[in-house]
Amino acid sequence: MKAKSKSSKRARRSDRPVQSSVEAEREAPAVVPGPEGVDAVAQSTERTIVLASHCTLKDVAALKGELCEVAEDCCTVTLDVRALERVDTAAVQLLCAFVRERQARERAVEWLGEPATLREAARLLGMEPLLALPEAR
Amino acid sequence: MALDLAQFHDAFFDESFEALDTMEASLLKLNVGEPEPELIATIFRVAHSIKGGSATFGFTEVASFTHTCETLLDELRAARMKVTRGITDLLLRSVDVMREMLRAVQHKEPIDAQRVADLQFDLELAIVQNNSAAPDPAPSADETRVVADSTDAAAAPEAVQTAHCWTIQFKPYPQLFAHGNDPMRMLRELSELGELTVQAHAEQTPPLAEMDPESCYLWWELRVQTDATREVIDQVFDWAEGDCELQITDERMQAPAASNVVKLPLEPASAAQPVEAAPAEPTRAAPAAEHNEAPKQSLGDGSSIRVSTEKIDELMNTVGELVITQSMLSQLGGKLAGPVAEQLRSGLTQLERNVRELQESVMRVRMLPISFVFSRFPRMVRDLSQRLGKQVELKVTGDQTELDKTVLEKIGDPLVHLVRNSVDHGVETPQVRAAAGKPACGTVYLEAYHKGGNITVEVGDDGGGLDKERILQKARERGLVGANETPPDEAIYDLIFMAGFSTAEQTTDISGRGVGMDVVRRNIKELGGAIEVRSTPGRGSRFIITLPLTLAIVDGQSVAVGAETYIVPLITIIESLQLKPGMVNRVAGQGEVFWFRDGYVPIVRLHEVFGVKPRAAQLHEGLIMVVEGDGRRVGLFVDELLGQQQVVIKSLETNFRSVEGVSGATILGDGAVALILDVPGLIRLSGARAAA
Repeated sequence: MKAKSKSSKRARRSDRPVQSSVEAEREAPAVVPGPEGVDAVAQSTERTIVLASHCTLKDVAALKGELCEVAEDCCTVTLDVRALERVDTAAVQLLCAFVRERQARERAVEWLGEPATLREAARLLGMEPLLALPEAR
Repeated sequence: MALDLAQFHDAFFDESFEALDTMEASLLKLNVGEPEPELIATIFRVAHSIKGGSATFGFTEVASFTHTCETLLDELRAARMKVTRGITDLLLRSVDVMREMLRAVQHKEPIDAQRVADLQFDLELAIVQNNSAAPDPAPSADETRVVADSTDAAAAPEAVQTAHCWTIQFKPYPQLFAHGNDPMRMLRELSELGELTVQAHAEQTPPLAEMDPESCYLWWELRVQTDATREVIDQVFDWAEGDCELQITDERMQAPAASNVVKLPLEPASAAQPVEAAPAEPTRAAPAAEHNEAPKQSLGDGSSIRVSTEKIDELMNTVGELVITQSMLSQLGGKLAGPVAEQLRSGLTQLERNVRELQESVMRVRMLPISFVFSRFPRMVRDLSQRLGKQVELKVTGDQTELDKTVLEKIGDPLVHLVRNSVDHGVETPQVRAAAGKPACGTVYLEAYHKGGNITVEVGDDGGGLDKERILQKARERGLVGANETPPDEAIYDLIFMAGFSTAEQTTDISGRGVGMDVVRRNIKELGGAIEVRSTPGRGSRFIITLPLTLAIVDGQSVAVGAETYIVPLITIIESLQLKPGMVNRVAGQGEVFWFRDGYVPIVRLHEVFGVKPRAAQLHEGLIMVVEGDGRRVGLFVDELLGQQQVVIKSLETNFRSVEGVSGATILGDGAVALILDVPGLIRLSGARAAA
């Protein structure tokens, strides 16, 4: 039950355009250029997926649905990890698959917030390079 | 799909309770002052895995408490803290509390928070006191770990330089996540053991749209430079047993003084090599004993599965039915003639053999070592002797002797009673022992062994033995024995099994109220077993329990009485003979008797007991089967002996109602029902009839 309420918190940025754009300016998201160096921020449309505080096995099915929806979008996809507190291997695996998919399509993925939790998890799992996380601040 | 972790709770509880038993046993074996590092490691692993499991399942109280335990155990493991009697007591109490907490969580009952908090406080206090008392600054973790892992303290300085280098190929099966395992937890644990380098392989992950996010597609090549032993590494992957492919090898490299924690690509050869190949690697200064670790299968218990006893009982029942069907077919086959009948009979013989093998295999599945029952005694004897101010050592032999699970479950209480009696009444206080020229520390023995198709369990002590005079005096007071009558020693000792008979001068809260020995004997008899007592004044007493291997099947002799067939358990039969006219005497109050070996044996005419019309009316026309039960012998008068066979016992209570003199029934090959005689019950019944 708990898991459902958490995953329902997740909303794509398009649902909350005002708040997200403010956040985007304040946070100045890190840019992960695609293989061809496409500057994703420069694009007019952006989509954000907010990761809930807990992103674990219970939540990956719902998260996958959201990621699949935006995987092929040509706009920049931002993963908002500011609320993220807990992540497990299943979630890291899913995010890696998403990043790989985007890279294969030469699309950019941005990270909003300092992904310390995710970085620590990915480092432990030896998957840090696969996530293409921004440099630690 | 939301994952329901609750489905793994049962397995977690089962394993945790077993692990706590192991922890308790190890604590009891722990030598104060000179603790064995292996035992401490075992104890530590139990706390560690319960902590991990509880955290996974969200049992936060259990996880928090075990974490404190683990912290204390880590101090012991690192030899920063000494193992004292007090610490062992504290940890034993922790085992009790963990057991209670798990039980409470399992049954969704409230946890006794106060008790937990008190003990947790004591544990923390012990840790804090130790830290503040330590005269020298605590040695670094690396150094202490080596000391803890090394069985030879002198070898420690060398070992500091030579750490293990475990290379681990960890290939989870897709269902790993779904079974509640998170590789991240395992990798974190490994990283806590030493320097960990990780190479993840995500090549097998399908495209996003096709992937099942709850399946694991990743695998890892890991390298840990640590002083941790193979067992510790295995323990990390304990919960993933059956959910992954694991190869662990020790490269045993010289640990570099300062190495970068960077992802070292593993040499493909070493990563791909099977476990057995490990010793072929260059191994400088590696003691042979350490080497033996590598070829061990990492998941030694992977070949066993947990099956509910209900399923086994069902299987047992079906096999029982199969035995009956097979014997029906055999009987039918015997009546046929002709060339095809010959082939049929040979097929039936084959079937009979197979069925018997199947039956034996199923029986073996139900067998468990008696250590399941014995394991509770070391703790009990320790606690009791402390309370009573005695020094008692428990010696257990034959604890791997196997018994049917049902028998095992029912023998626990009687054994507890006997062991408690031995500690309380048997073994004397150190002063009394010293005065008698005995060592201050008494011994209580527990032995189990096979004897003639039965299991014998002996509980004995080297105490003062039973007080014959007091028993006799008490029996005379109660009118059980005549004033001038002096029965043989065995009969006197046997009196302690009478209801309400206790010679204890003071009853304690432990034993001595005279309730019990009669219950002990009754429980054992209900199992089809027997108990006898032997005692030597000043040297101790010994209770000898004989138990059947199983309650499901009995080796029986079938006998005919009139048109009926009865099964007499083989174990009760002493001899079968034919009486000649004139051998039978009539004795008042006993009915007919005849001289057999060294005494007169009363005759029980089975047809009279069961109201059947016999074929042989005169004793010399039929046969006499001398049987023994409850230490008494009778001669059963039957028409003829039919044959010996193993029969599957069907409970009369369940299918009909309890009948005196009959312990159960079975179905014969021709489909007829035969009653299985309860010889002790029959003897009682015939005694009552004769007296009437």
